[in-house]
Amino acid sequence: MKEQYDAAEGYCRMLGHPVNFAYCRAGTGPLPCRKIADCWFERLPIEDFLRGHYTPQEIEAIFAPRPGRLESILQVVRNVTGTRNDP
Amino acid sequence: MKVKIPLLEKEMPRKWYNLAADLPSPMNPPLGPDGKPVTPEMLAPVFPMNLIEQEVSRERWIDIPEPVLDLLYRWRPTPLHRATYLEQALGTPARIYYKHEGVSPAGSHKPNTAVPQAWYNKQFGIKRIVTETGAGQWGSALAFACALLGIECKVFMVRISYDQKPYRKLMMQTWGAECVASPSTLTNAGRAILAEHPDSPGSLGIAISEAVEAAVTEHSGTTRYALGSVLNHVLLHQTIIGLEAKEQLKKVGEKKVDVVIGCAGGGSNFAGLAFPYVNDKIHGDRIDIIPVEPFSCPTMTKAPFVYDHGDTARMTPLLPMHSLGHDFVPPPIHAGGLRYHGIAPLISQAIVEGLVTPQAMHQLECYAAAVLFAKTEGIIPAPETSHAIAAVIKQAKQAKEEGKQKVILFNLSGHGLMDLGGYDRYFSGKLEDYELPREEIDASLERIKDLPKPSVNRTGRW
Repeated sequence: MKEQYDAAEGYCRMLGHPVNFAYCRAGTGPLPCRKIADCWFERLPIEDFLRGHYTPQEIEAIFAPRPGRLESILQVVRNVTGTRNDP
Repeated sequence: MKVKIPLLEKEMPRKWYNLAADLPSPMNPPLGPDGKPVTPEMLAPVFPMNLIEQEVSRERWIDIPEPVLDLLYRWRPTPLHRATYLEQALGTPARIYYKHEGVSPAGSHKPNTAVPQAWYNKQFGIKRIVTETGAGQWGSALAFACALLGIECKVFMVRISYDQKPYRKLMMQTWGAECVASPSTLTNAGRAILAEHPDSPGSLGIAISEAVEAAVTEHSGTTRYALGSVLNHVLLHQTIIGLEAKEQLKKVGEKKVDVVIGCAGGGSNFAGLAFPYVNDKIHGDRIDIIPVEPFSCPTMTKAPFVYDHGDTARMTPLLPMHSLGHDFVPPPIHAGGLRYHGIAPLISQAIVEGLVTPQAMHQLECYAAAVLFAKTEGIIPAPETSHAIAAVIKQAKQAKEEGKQKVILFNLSGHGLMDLGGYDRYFSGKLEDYELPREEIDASLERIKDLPKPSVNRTGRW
């Protein structure tokens, strides 16, 4: 059952305050937050949880690289304006 | 005994210091997807050109406009404290000083750049600034700055934070900012999320998308986005911290600083204190300059210098920085400000040159240091600031062992009164130390080994 740990409380360092496991599992999108493993591995069998509820492809997607801050900004600009960032 | 060293307003520095002018080896520029450097024009839809000019400037000293100084006087100069009571508790011969940036209206160093950014935006004709925030430290600093300038401020605050962390939201609202729960119906990015997940609690990524979209799609062209860390102009504005400290130390007869310490996430508070001393080191002084990071997230202390891609598709710019790679997943650490996987490029280059020497501290040691500091000096530091304090105590103990009267200076980047949850977890025994195994780092580095390597520009002087 995916919801088995949902009530557990941890500290989200992205946001800077406590959140429930439910937020890490399903709050940020269709897949768990990419930080879910390092935020919970000390308290929950997080690897078993992920392997039990997600396909290898989904797990790869969860931990796939994300843009840094400046890169995110330029990517959003590109998406919104429809222009390339190239000069 | 003198424990506070004030500085008069008329004695405050009139210029910011730009380390980019003095680095003995050139920084590798950020690269676009085509491998060519990012241009100012690419950033123009997001930031006003006067700030972009600072971002790319190689001028050593940049004048702080008088109107900006007038605004900074609200809380600056910040006091320099002699940590007399901490020294006594440690029995150290070291003389420990700290800049107390927690005295700003927003409680941290963040307004040092929020205020000039707001001012430069206004000079450029900008009438509204948009940003995002999680728990609200940066959002509240920018809200404060915009209130001083009479600029509209919109902050996309992650919905779950908006609901669960109301006090900084109230700070923003008190300063007149519009604080919007993200995802919102105000942007395409927000509406798309809400269409699929009407009850979405939001995320920092969504909030960034909303803020940038709101800035670049506003048709009058008088809206821009603001960022509170990492970028060169942000670090530039923060150098007022170290420049003030130098004047204050002169007042008490300190002719030389032996050690300069600051916690380093994106790097702005460390850079603010340290860069003026890096300049001294470049010109011959012998100073240990130490950015401190969590042992469990060793961005600076164990990673080689690589170009780091932003995404899997490799379509986003490459920044030369110390990084463990994007699939590096750091273990838990309870310091909200220390979450960047890469440090600011200027600091990376200073590390490459050997001008600054990073250290890593375990989080239990950091909290123990923070508690000792609170009991002796009276100030409860922000969790990220505790990393610097732990490193200071380590240096002070070493001075005691060696019988050396060295001078240690550090940056108390913010108070922790809005972030007591970490202390609660520390006192209840819920925190653990964890050191990333060497093999995990090696595996991560293996995955990025084929990325292009920058030329390592190093003079070898340090």
